[in-house]
Amino acid sequence: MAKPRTTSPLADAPAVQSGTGAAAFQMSEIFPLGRLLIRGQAEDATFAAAVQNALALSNEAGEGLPATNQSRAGKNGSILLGLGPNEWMLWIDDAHTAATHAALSSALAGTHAALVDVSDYYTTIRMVGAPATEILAGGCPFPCGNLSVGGCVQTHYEHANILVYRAADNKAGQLVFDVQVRWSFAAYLHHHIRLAY
Amino acid sequence: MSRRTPTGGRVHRDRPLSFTFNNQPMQGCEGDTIASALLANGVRVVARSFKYHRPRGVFTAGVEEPNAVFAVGTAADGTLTPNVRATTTPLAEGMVVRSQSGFPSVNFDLSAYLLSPLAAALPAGFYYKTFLWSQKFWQWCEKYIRRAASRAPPPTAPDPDAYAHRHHHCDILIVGGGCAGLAAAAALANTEAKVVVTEMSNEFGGQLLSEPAGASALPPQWLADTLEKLAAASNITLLANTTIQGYHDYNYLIGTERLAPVGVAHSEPVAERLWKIRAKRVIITTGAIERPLVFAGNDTPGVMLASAVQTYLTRYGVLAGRKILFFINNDSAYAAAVAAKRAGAEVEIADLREAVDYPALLANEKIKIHRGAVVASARPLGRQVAVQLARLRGETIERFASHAYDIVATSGGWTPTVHLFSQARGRLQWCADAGAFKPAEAAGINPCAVAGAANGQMHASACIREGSEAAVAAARACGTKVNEADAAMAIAPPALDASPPQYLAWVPAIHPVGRGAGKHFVDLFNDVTVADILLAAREGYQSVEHMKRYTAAGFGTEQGKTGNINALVVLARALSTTPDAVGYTTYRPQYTPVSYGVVAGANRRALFAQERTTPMDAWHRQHNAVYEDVGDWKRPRYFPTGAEDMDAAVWRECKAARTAVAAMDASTLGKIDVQGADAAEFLDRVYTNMMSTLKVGRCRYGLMLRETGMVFDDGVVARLGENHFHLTTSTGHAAAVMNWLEELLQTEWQDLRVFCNSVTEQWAVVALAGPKAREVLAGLTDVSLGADAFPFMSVASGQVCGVPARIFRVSFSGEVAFEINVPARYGLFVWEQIFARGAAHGITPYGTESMHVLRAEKGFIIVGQDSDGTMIPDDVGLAWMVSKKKTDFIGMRSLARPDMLRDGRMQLVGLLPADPKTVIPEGAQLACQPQTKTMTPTPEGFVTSSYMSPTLQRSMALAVVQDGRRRHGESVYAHFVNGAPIPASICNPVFYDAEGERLHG
Repeated sequence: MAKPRTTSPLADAPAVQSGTGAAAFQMSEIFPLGRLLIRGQAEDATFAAAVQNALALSNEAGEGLPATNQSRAGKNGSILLGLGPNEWMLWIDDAHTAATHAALSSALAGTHAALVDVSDYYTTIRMVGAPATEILAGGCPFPCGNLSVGGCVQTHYEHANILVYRAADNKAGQLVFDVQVRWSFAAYLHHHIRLAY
Repeated sequence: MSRRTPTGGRVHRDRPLSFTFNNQPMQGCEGDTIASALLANGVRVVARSFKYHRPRGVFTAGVEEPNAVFAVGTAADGTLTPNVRATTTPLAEGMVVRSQSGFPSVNFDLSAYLLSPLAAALPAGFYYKTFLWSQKFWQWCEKYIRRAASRAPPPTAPDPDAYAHRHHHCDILIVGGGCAGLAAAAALANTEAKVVVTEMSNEFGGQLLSEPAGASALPPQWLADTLEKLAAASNITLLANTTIQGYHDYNYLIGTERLAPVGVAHSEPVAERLWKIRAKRVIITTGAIERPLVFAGNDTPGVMLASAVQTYLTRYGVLAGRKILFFINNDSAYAAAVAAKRAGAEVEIADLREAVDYPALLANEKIKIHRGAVVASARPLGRQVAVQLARLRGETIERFASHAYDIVATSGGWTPTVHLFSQARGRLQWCADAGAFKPAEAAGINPCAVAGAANGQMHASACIREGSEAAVAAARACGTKVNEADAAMAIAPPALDASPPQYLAWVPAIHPVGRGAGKHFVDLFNDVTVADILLAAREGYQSVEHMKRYTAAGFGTEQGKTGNINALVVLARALSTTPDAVGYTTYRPQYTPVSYGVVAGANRRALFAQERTTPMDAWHRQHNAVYEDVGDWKRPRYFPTGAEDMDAAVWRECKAARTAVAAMDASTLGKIDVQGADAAEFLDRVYTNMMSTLKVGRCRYGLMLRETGMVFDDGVVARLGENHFHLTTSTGHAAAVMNWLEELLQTEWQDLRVFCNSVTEQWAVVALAGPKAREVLAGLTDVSLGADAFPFMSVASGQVCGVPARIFRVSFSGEVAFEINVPARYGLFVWEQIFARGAAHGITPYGTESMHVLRAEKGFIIVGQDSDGTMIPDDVGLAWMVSKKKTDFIGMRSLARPDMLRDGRMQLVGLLPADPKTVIPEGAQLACQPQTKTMTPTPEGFVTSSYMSPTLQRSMALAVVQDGRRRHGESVYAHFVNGAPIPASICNPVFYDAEGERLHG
């Protein structure tokens, strides 16, 4: 039998890399990426502890799960994003998805919670460079430039629902946004951003 | 004849620009507007008026222009732009400028001659009156009126420009870059506040740009110094060429920024940008617009605003005429008169005020002043304006002289530009001193301040003081500290020795108003006169909103910027009341006309709406798929081979599914993951049938109703674990069902421990159907597929083609079928593997059309096609799905209403056309009798789905018919728009394998 082959939503999308210095901008797709949706009540201590322990969340910002629009780093390079009062999304290297899913699943057994693998529901467009803020402002009503590192927001770019996460600046000191979009909207969003640039 | 002055102005005489006006080649220079270039070329008549086709000239030098509104560009290359205001549009090389009215030309317009005897037949309220007479008469008039009033030709080619949008958030938005706005910005420079300053014109400075040298109350370097300071401040964004068009709630303002010249080919990547600005505080410094005085013949070409004469001379280096009469009621035009005199014009002033202390400047320049004098009438005389000067004697006049002038420059006072403030629901207050409405309180939800001329201040120093104060207050409100030195910009206002203005609703003429040749125009854009407003008042249209609509005053691209105040002053006088009692009409966005292009932005062509495709789409494209739009999804409708049409392709695809194996991409199906201890209870409440009894590993077809009892959606519920379900919804209802479930959990049943998550796009789905389906799949999966191990309506997890998969044994075709769900990344791979494996069995891809035929043969409904929002389960033959055991579910109570139980409800039936080759059009109305010339039968139902069935080898249809289930065997006639009624007989809607043997096999 043939070895399984994967495709990504933006496999055929043209590369975007242009400008120099402050105007330098590039856009690339991050896929596959593990994405686990975790649902539960923030005030449910058992649930929160189960998630925290299973992910070995960093505690720099204090106890508890990240609040809405904030994030917290976990083990294996994972990032737990707060999406709402009872909703979180874990981004994790694809190689660790299955094991993390299993670990969370057993940790959450018996609690009021839900765990869903949505890795392939979305793809992520990484935007690098100072122009990213203005480009996002071309179709997104949220001031993404105001996000601090680690901040995230669910918003939209024209008709596409997106999740914008401000990653740490890269080694060259450039601004980095990771923009998550549904598989079927990825080409539409990519086209828009190409025009906006 | 060039009117260009040898020196002066902000134009570059060394950089000429060529353009044409009504096919005449002309030259202007860089820095000109279209209007200043036309005046420099000595053009006097630029348009014909809307109703009377009277000749009109350039009237203003700003956004308020009612006459010089042109079509710019050429239709053939798509650059044609209608309704371009010549007074604010920068001239560009190669511009093709045309008047939008006048046939054969603006200088000789036939309609003017044809219409002048008819003028009396075109009174105010003409439309209203025409409607009342006779419909036929209106229809007859309409053709001529539309042609006569033509404003702009439509372009014939697509717009070549690109447009963009930009969202922006700031602390303080300053609208208007005149002295008040710049002073406000300067006070905020280098603070922590993020500030945006917008200016309509291509240059900041506002009225300062039009002030003659030495006439300013400000230090000569003030403007340049301030702009330099603002440019250097990193917290300030200066947007020139940007008009704030609308002020919406919660300080959300919409602006348009022009980046490319209008109506010519250019290389700008974006021609115009729409700004969507959310500001914590707004400072409105939009200035003021000069009002004309209303006198007989005040529309004669050569009559223009005094401020326009000044702007053309000072900013554009164009002296509009050699002999100029200033007709004024206030002091603001002195500087213009002096400047014109110094530029070599012969200048006189007619001031309707008697006792005025004129500044020495006027006497020094030896300018002749007629005190207490008015222009009783004006009319064209060659290229001049013939003027009758008269003294006011109460309500009448006494003529004392007649002269001809090149230009009559009129100033009737200044109207604060309160549009944005009023849009923001700010209250306006009549100010007798200004003779206009001024801003009073702002609305709480739109925190803003008004400063400068927009607030009624007429002197630069006062404008600057107000601007600075507004900035300090706004900064404080935003929690920002202002640098004291910057804020102390206020310049002590000089002692003003101004004489108060004297206002007059209109200047009496020799004839009573409305008689004689000279009309008193109030609204030049719509040809509305004082007589029209008086007539409206007499005929009972006394509310200002009624008067506006009856006379059309204030409509059109100019929106009454010059005429509104004059119109309501006239109305007030007609009603013997005061303007504040009359009130004002509502100001609405947009401030100036906005192009559709900039509203659409990048959302056009491919980006007009998203086109969603599945992970397998690349294969579909390679295999010649013809697509169908299903919501925003692009789904393959059929896959023609060779020269096949749809019917042939569908015939082949259906045959393959019934006799061998066929595969469809079903990835677009809505999928919802439901988890939680109360998941089963939750599903019992939202579906009509019992879900809690479903065993793990099994599926059940489920039906959802709204509270009304009407069918909402159908789908399959699969139980993956004790507390874990996977639901499918129809493609088009995925979002609606998800929202509905979430709404119920968040509002009605907060106690249920359930979470719903959409997983629609997580899974790519291959629907594999046909007698050979099992054989094809068996070789690719570790799940055992035997009829006993894996019966119809089962679900199993396992591997397919070496990737994790969920296989659902469900069928929408009536054949043995499997819906193979794999993570989307593997969708294309698995699809290809299935086709490779199935090749030996003749595997055939099928699209949505064949899916429809296959399911219709089985009598399976599509919710929304075979049902509408009026059908309950019994109507569509699904009463068996309504649980009798459950005590409650959504819609249950409604199903017991008498109307749901009565006879005569529409019920799903099958239809067999008498002629097996005839396919009845969907939507055809069904009646017992065929329609004849003398008899129209009552419809008793309609066709919902209709196809040529490859399986039955004949045409068939689904329909809903009153009491349909009791009427199997009866004949009906299907009626549609074009064609003879088609006879058909009613039958059971299940046409094929009614026992379901194939399905379960």
